[in-house]
Amino acid sequence: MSEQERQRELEQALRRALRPADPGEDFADRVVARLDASAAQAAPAAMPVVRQSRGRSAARWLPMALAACAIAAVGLGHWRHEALQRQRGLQARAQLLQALRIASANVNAVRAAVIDEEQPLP
Amino acid sequence: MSVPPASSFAMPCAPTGERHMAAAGGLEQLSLARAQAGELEAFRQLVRAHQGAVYSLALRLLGVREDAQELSQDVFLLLHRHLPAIVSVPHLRFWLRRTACHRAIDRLRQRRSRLVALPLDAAAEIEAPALDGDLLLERRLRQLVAQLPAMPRAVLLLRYQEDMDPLQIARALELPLNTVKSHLRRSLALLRRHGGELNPADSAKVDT
Amino acid sequence: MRFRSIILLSGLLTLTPLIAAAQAGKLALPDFSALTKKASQSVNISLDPSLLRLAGGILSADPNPNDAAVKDLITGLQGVYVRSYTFDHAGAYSRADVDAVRAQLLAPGWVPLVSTHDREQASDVDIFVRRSGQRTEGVAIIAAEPRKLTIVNIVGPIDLAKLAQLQGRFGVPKLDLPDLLGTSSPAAPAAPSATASVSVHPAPARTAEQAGAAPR
Repeated sequence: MSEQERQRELEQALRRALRPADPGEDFADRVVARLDASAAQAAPAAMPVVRQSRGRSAARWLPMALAACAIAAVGLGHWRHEALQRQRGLQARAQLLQALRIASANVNAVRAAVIDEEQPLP
Repeated sequence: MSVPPASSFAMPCAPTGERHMAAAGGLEQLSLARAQAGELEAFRQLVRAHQGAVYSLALRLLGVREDAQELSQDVFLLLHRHLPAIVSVPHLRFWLRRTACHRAIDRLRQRRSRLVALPLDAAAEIEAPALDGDLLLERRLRQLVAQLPAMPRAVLLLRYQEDMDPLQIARALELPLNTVKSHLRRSLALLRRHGGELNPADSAKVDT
Repeated sequence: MRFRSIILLSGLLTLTPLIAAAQAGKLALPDFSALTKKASQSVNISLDPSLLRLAGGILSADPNPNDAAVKDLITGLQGVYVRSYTFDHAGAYSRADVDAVRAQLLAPGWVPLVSTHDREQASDVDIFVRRSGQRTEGVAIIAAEPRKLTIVNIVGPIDLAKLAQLQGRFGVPKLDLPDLLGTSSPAAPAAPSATASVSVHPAPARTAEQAGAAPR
């Protein structure tokens, strides 16, 4: 067996020996759980308790509740729109960076050629 | 306004393996974009896609399962904070492997142990499911790898576990290229000398 | 009614040159679906002004200095378009596939900036610029290699020097190896070898009117 073949065998054996190990099926869940936990710690203060006076009829606070629901619905719609816009923006950003990377690489290849041409002969 | 067209990966003539890789790459790019948009489920998918690599690097560098679990989770939590800075799937892969190695090596340094080699039986814990080949040889190789000093071990892991080439490894570990090649050369020579099943009289050459 | 028609027509006539100027640097890229089918990897990016604005918004929100550099670069751009195809074998595309693009670059306004030809690698990279006076309206890059074809069209005032400086700043190491860029990005083309020939085209002579204009 030649030196190169032995080398190749060793490298193949190493690749087999160093196959990635599994951290467990619930690893990703544990990561996300830690994310949630840290987010909960950073959460704003608890919602204020609304005291409802006795004796007030439903007719008095029902319009306010409906208005609050409407505002929440509009807010939710706005938030969803914002989230979608952000997602599209991130996709556009990723594509932009990829496009600029390709363009930059080609410009630099040409610059390298120009610099090579301008080098004085030894 | 229409959603921008995703980069297309049409490979009708490519071998199945390459097509699968490229299709997976396209799906992963989508997961990345969605994770960057704040979708937790997409981030979970990214974790699943890379948890094996990150955990294995941590485990083979630190040698202790619990430490490796904690460090791996830390790496992904850090990834979540740095998601907006990730520009592509290859960048993501590079970032995870670089961060995992740096953090593991930092932790090893904090242990203030000059002897950073792992005990031999610790390497036995690091079992990957065997597909074929010689199980004893593979176990022996893992034991030997575990005895390497931290930086050469990281170089070897990035080369043969993560299939990165020397220049990529140099960038990931912030080492000169020649140092990386030297680590590979010496580590392979050591593995050959002490491999047992391998011919100890042969000297190894690094195929870089 | 007739008066309104006149106003509308006047408005259109006024706007048309502005719209035309904004899109003067834009190429009509052919439908490369045939190449897409043959390619082992393909990149198809079309970012019009609205998408560039979206991307710019994200860039502005990120304190990352690299993003700030990109944001600066794309200021004023009206479009970024990339078509790139990598094939398993040489000869998968023909010169005719690119001719439809090259024909547009013969139109008035477009000038060749640099052309490189590498005989050994059989690759050509051509950069064209469309100018109106001192103002750059667009850039076109055509990189033709045996197994890869890349066409880039940037519409608007792009600074090529700043574009060149961006390579290596995207967080991905500046490497010459194809693998790191992954399946979605073609590798950076190898620099032409000693057998390359390079043509650097002098800037077109300025008219007296242009010479009197304030520099950018």
